[in-house]
Amino acid sequence: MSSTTFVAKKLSHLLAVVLLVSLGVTALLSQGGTVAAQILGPNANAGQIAELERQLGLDRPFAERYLSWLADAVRGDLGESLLTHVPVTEVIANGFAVTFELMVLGLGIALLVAVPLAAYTARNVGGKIDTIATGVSSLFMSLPSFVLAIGLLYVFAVRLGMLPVSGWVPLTEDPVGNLRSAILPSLVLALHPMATFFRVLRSDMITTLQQDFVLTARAKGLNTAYILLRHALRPSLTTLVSLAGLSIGSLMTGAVISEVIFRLPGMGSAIVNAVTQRDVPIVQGLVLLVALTYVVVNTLVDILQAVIDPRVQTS
Amino acid sequence: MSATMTTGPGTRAAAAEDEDAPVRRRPPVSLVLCSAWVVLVLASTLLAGLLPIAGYDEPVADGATPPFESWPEFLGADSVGLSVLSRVIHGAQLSLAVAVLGTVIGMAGGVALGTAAAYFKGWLATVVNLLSDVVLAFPGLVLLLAMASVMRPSVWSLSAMLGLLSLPSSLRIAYANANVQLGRDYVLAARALGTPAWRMIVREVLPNITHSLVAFGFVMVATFMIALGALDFLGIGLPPPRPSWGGMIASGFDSIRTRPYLVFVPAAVLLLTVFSFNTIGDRLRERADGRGGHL
Amino acid sequence: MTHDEAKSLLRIRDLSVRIPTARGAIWPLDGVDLDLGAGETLGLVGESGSGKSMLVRSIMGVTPAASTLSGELTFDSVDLAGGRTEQARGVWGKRVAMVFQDSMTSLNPVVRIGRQVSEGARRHLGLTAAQARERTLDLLDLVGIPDPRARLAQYPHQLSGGMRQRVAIAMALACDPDLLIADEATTALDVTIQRQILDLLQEIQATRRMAMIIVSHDLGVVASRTDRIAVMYGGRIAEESATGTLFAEARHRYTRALLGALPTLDMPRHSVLPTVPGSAPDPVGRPRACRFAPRCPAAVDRCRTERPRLLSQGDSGHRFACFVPVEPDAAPASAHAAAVAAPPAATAAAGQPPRLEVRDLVCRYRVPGGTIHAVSGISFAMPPGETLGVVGESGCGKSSAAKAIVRLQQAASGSVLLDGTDLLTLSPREMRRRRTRIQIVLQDPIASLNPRKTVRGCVAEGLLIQGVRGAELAAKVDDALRGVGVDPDIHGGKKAYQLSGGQAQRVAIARAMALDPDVLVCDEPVSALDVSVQAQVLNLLERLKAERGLTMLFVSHDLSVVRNISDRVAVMYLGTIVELGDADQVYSAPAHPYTRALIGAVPVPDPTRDHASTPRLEGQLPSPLSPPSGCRFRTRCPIARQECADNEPPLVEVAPGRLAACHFPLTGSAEPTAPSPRARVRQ
Repeated sequence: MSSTTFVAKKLSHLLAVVLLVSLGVTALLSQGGTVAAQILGPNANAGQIAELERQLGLDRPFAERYLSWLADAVRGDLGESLLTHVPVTEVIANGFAVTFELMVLGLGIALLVAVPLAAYTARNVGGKIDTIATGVSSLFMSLPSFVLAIGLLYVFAVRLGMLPVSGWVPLTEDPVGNLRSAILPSLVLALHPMATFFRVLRSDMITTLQQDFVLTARAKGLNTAYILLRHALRPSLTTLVSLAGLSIGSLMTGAVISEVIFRLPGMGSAIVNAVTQRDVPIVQGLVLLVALTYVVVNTLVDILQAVIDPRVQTS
Repeated sequence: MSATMTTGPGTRAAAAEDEDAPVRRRPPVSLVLCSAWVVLVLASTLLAGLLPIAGYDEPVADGATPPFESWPEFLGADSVGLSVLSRVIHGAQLSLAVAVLGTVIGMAGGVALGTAAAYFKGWLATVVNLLSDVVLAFPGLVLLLAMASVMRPSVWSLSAMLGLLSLPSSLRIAYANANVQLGRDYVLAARALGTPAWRMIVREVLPNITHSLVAFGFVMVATFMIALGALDFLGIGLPPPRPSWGGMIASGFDSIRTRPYLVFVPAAVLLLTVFSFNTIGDRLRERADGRGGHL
Repeated sequence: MTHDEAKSLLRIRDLSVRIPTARGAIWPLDGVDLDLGAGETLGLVGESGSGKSMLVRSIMGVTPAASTLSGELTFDSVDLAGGRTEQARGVWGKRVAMVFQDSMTSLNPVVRIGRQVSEGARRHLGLTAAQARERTLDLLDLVGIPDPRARLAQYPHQLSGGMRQRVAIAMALACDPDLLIADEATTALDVTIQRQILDLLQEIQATRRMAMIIVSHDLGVVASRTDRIAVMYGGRIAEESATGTLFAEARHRYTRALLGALPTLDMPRHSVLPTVPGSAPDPVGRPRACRFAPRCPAAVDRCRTERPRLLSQGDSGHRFACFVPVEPDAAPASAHAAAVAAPPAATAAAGQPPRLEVRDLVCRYRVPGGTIHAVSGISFAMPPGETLGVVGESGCGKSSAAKAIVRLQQAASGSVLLDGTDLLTLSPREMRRRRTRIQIVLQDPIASLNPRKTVRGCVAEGLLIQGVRGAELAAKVDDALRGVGVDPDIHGGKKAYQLSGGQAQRVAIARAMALDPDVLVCDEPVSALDVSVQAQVLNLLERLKAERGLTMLFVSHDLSVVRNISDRVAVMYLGTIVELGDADQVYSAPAHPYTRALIGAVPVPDPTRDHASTPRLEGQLPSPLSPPSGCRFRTRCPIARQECADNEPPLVEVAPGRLAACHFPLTGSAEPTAPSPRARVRQ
């Protein structure tokens, strides 16, 4: 396959995914006249609801509404909130910095802990550290993020009083305060990916260390650290990198939970609010953004795979 | 042994050990304990009505009571005097039902589509892969939130939704496993005997991937328990009056400074249950992989 | 002993390796004694599980993590059995180096070739990056890699198998070792490439005067390239002697059996090969007995209760571990086979219509980067009762052709006529019915049986599909199993992985024979088996053929095996048949230059044979994505001329019953006329 057809194929796949995701969420959210009813409150009669729906354009056929939303979206106009009339792009822009920081910090912490630990334990299977790390990782895998968030909150904020219970200090105002307000929420995001990354990389490293080329390297008299870094780590990264790409979804889930519990002004709490108020344009916009991020990240992951393993390009 | 007695890299030689004794497999203590816990949870849930405890909506005290002060309601009572033990036991009913049902739905669809796509390849594989990418690109919790906003969640709608959300994962597992098997020589040999498609999938391939799929099923149940807990915690899960672990944690959260046990008892039960399902799944997978070593 | 112990470079005494498993401890090595002098070449021979690989891995310090070493293992007085000490690590890679079997897995796929070759030298010799680069270029040049500078930045998968193995050799030579170990270094390669690599190793060994251990399952590989040979069985050395002595007067019965079971190019066709009953020993435990006793025809009580020690005969250096050795003046082992009469081969009746006829069969498949022309129009016809052998190197299309004939692979065009009916145009339902007439046996017996099914279940499957049920089914399954020498009452309930390779292949043959086919296609049926077991399966196929009048298409890369079992032979190269004719005639007087080179490259288990006299085929197999124009062999052909590039030679009769696709077929024993240098065609 030439690289142009490869890119074209990837792009069309990417486009199809984003279109289908937005179509799906629009279809799901346009069940019945609940939006207008929600705005007008429980005392509204059928006529008032119908009138409002006409104003909001909700009486048009579904396909027409989706297409006009799509046409606007392509031009960068995602509409405005049904309740507050704030443009959706502005809602996204407001929450983006918080959620983005949490996700980057979470992913960073997960990788920083998981990679060295996995490399070490794969070399020392059955050792003390391996036993502990493996056990703790299965505990982390089973820890629901909202339980973890509450636990962290209770220990560090309530009991020890070391960190703020809730609230957000923007990075631009006070970097230290920002870090203090971000550390617990990003730990909530980090723990689950950390455990999965650790387990996957450990098991892949164990497999790699049994490969003939590692035997060759050992037979060359090279030292262990060099073999681990130069020969064993890179070929073991394939699954981890794919997983890191897929973990966008789980990081997003963690962001939602942790923004709600720590009361942070991010996209996660925005989406929860919008959903409970049935504010369709905001949900549409946010879901579109998440889906877009997901496909872009996973396309980058595909490219990264080819960098890690030169064989990927040719097959 | 005359000269040196040394060990290979890795393990240490135990001098007293009988030289030719078989290595005892690591006794699966964790597996036994986890299975016991799952059985306990399932049994107490199914037989909740027969247990000598209060109903989940019958107050047993005037207000909050700490644990270990009364029997059989040894887990104490919440702020309105309801038995925590009773609510924990009843709280498992619906979550377990939804988690298991969702797993069955997701696995059935995923295995059927995955094995078929692996066998027939071509356009079917392309379409199946595209659709699974679409579902994966949905942020799962957000989708559940969105769904909860437009319809009143029921056991069936939640199970269907979870099943749908997990479909791509079970599909990919089934697809990958079936693909490996379909590349094996025994499939080639079966084709030389004229084995038709359905017989190939059902009689040749499926028996060889069942172990991995069952193992994955347990992990799936655990994942669903977490998702349901989160929904209940956010207040958009299955509606009251039936208690749920997530809901109990959410209501206890308001008084976490004074009565942390109202949060940590249901949290611990949830954690243990999820951990048990995960561990059983892991052990089964290890076994499946170990058996795969013979192939 | 002929070699002075004091001078020995490598000294091994009572070396054992123990690995704990769920079934009990296994002892891949069980008390091995061995010495190797500087500059000496040792052949280490044995079947799978004999411990030969574990022995060299112990020397290199790369035994499995769970293993325990005991005994003495020193290299030039440095202890190598004591773990990864600083001293030992100064020996590994520097003074002792190893070339592994499969260069696809022994080279790191994600590290550039330049680094892989140079990193050992940088670690041990402390070279700078620039010095290491110079050295790497020299080494790559030394091992015959064209354009070494361009290779430095390449990855292993960008090279062919032969080139990769040359890189692995360069890597091993990086620090100028005193001992080079080649662990089955040519097993994964085609014969013509194997010949190139073996010659290269021998040249390097001779010019550098280093010691060398060649580990191989193939006695032919070590026969003419070693000073001494050690034969291993069940983790112990069974016999060790000078190479000539071993072939001429082996004393251990296992060595004799090994030599006898090997079909050779000079024994009569359809010879019944002497076999060793049973299969490789169970590695669990270390019995106080001779490991070979259960399979030994001469075993006495002592063999089962006492462990024979490896003792030398006088000071000849000939050592063997046997209580009941063969008398030294007995006939040479390899002569045994010829003495046995062949069963009457069902001779093909002339003038009868062909049972199986293949016409212009073409197979293509798409890969990223183009289309592989696996089979480019082959034709042949087989009268009933004939065995046609198909030989060729990997990528020649022999396996694709076999699979296309039984419709396991889609043919692009052509026809396969079974008694006049074209199989390729049948509907799936009709084809299913017709599958009772034509069956296939695949290469890897254990992989070809469903691991979840019992032996009986595997054999029953084909009959079930044909609608056989109940008592008839059970009877047919048991008959089929008995027919291949598998007792259904003992083995019928086992799963595939509980069988040995030989048993599994018998079951696979029973599965095919249960349908009572007229034609049996065998795709490399004995390649995955050890020599002693291979002979059992070959004899079985000969017997079935004689009893049932089977017509057999036998595909193999092993020229000796094909010659022994075939009536006629087809030689394939890059998707075409280049020569077809009576097996004896093709082997004794090949008409196509490729056939001649192929036969010349076969390692012969005869130390007196000078392989240097036969011409060596140079170069690599061209890419099947874009085969050369005209004659496909011209890029490697020693007598190619311009015409060979312009026109593709058709497969025509060059002598009665002999077909060859060559513009300048070799005739008789006359030397081919040397082409003028200008006319010679290069790629």
